[in-house]
Amino acid sequence: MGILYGKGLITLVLPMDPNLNELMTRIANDRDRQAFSQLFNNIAPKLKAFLRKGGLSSENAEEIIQEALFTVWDRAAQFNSSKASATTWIYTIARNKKIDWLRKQGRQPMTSSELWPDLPDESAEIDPDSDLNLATVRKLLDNLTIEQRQVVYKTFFEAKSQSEIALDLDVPLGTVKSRLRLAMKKFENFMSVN
Amino acid sequence: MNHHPSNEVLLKHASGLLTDSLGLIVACHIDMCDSCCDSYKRYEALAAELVVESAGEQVSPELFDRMMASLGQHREAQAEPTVVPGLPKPLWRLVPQGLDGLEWKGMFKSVQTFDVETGDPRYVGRFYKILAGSKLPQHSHRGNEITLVLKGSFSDEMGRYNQGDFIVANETTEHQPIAGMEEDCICFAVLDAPIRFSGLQGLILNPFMAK
Ligand SMILES: [Zn+2]
Ligand SMILES: [Zn+2]
Repeated sequence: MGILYGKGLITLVLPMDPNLNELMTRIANDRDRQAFSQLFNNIAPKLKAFLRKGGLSSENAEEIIQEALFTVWDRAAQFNSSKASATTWIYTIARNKKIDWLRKQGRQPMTSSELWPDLPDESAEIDPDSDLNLATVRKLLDNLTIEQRQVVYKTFFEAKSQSEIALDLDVPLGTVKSRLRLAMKKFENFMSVN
Repeated sequence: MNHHPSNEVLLKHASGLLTDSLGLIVACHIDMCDSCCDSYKRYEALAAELVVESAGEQVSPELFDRMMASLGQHREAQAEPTVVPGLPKPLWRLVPQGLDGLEWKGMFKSVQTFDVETGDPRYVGRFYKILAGSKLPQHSHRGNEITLVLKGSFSDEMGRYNQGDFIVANETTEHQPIAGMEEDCICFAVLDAPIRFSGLQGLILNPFMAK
C-alpha cells in the first residue's frame, strides 16, 4: 500500500507491481521492450515525485529519469537479484544520475562514483528471505506509525528542517522531534538485530 | 573501529542528501567499515521503498514515446577511476598521487597538513600527518570538523581512535590529540571553519586566530 505524504492527508494508492525483479530479468535476458514499458509505467512516476520533492523542475526531473532508465536498459545484465531488489537498484541509479546532473550544473561538487562507489561485492549474497529482501524492509516500514513515516519522508526526501515539517503538518516542533527520534530508534534496533 | 556515523547520517547519505564533502567522508568510512556498509545497504533499500510507496507524479507521454523510440541507441561512457592503493575509493579521483605523494606543509615536522581541492565551497578537505607519539596543541573548534583515521591511531581526552574511526568535533570540543607510538598517524578531515588553538602555544602557532 502506498501513502501520500501530504498535509495530514493519507491516501492509499495502488500497490507496487511485485514483479519488478521479473521484469528486470526479462529485460536482461530477452531485451524485452514490453517488459521495459511496464517497468517504465510503474517506476517513472515514483522517480518523478522523488526528484520533484528534491526541488527539480518537471522538465529537469524527466531529463534525469530518461538518463536513469536508459542506464537501467543498458546495464540490465549487471542487475543481480540476489544482491539487491530491483527497486533498490533502480532507485540508486536515479539518485546517482540526479547528483551527476546537479554537478554538471555546478550545483554541488562531488560525482556519484565518489559518493557511492561500487561497494565491495564479497558481502554474502542475500537469500530471498534475508534482511535486504523487500519483505523485511517493508516490515520495518510497517513498524512505523503513519505519522512517523511522514516525518521520515519529509526529512530524508524533501530535505526539510524540523521546523518546516512542523509547519507543514501543523504540529508542535517537539512532536516532530519525537516522531523522528522514535523512527530512528526503530531503524537502529533493526540494524543491530539483523 | 569504535566510532561510526550515526544512523541518521547513513540514511541521509542513502537518500542523496549529503552531496558535498560531508558525503565524501561518510562514503570513505563506509568503504572502510563492513558494519556501516551493511547498514548502509539496508538504508538504501529503505530509501528505495519510501520512494516507491509515495504517490507518484504523472510523467509526460512524450517522455515514454521518446524513450521507446531510442532505447538501446544511447551509450554512456563508464569511466573507471584509477586505483590508488592505501586510500578509500571515494578519494581516488581527488588524490591520484596517493598518501606517499602528498606534499606535506607545516611549520613543524611533528604535525603537517595537505589541503585537497574538492571544489566544495563550504568545506575544506585536509589530510593530517602527526608523527608517531607527537602531540597537537590543545585547541577548540569554531565549526564542525569530521575526521577519519586512515593510518595509525591517535587519542585525546575522549578516547582512542584507530584506522577507520569517524570522529565528529564541533564548537564544544576542546582537546589535545596525541598520535599513537606505533606509526605516524594520517587522517583525512573535512572542516567548515579553521580550528582555534588555545593557550600560549596557540598564540605562537596561530596569532591571527587568538581570542
Ligand atoms: Zn562504521
Ligand atoms: Zn581537533
